[in-house]
Amino acid sequence: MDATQWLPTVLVGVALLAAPSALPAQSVTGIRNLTFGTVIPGVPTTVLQNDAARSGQFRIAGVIVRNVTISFTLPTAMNGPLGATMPITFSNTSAGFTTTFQPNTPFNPNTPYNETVWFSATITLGGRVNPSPTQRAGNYSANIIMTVIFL
Amino acid sequence: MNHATRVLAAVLTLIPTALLAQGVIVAPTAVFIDHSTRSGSITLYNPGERPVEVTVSFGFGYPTTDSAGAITVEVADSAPAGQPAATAWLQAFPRRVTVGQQERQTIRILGSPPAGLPDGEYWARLIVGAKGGQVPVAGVPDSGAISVGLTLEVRTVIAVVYRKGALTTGVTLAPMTASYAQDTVSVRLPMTRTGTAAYIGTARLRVVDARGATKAEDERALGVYYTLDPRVDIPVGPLAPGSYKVYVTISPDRADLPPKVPLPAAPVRDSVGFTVK
Repeated sequence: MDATQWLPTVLVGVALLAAPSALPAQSVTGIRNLTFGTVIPGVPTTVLQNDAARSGQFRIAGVIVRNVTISFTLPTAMNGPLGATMPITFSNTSAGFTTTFQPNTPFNPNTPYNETVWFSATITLGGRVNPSPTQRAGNYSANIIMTVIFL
Repeated sequence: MNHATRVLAAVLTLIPTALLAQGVIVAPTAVFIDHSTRSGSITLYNPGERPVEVTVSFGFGYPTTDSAGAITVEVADSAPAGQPAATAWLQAFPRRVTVGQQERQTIRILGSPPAGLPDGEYWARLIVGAKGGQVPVAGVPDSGAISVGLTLEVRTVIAVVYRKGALTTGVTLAPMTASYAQDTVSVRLPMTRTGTAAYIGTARLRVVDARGATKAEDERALGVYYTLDPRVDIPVGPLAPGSYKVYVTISPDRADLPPKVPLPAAPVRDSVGFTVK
């Protein structure tokens, strides 16, 4: 493990311990955007939820043992240049849930997912884009919202 | 697990990717407001290297279980009629704020209940939305290429409880069931709340064999607002054929909350047997 991985842990840990509000806390963070990169017109492109580089990644942390409900607000299309759009879909295995004690478990991001988090959990997200043969060139983007309800 | 271990675990798990993270740490894990002060607060901390836009709003929901024992909370913008909801008269200040990198921000929560509010407990859910700076999609439009990327936004939802007057709580436990499959003991805990307030507590479970030797232990945080029938799965590993028991204690304490938050109630104890063939 290099310093860029453990140094933030140490620094923020010290900050938390020194803070007056060193209360039990939780965090939900977006770690990595879901990225399809460059796609070819007319050729659907899929990013698997366990893709180590391109899948979206979220993290739940700071809990000891908590039941959570995870839900997503997912786009059906991405917005591009001059009003162009591109369809995007998410299948019933497009998301994954991983903890220290549980290997990657695929789940459907289109419906709420209930899990027990032990200390921390990583949620990954893939998807599929389907550019048309005449898809306008340019950058396409959209927003994904992950909601975590602590029970 | 003692307090120091818990704090260490929390610290180690909160920030493993702090430099890249788009989100905030939210403390505490639930907000309890007394009618005498009508106010509470949460603290936000941005461990990342970029400012985070935070929005704060309220919804309504409480834990329920489905037929399989999975616990879920459906959060709605407003409460159904007849529910003891605080959603309409709670306010957060500020409701929208940008938290700078490695900065802290306090959000005040004020209650303005209607005059003549009856004694009781009123519920809401606090929704903390966090959005990091936009990450540009790679690619050059003029090149004729198509580049695709999606940005992430996260929402943390925690309980808000507003209390007025003297409140009581408790829980009754209907006959439990237990079964063993795939190295796991599954226990159903059918609970019904009593009194005038939600039961906040912890269920502790212990699996013992016929000689009384402990095979596994587990504990789960509970919030019983009306009824709850959760399934608790306890990993035990391979069990030899024989008779076993699960002892359950439900008590009004929570490791993640100050001791005065859960209302006092008598512990509930019960046991259920199961057989491994």
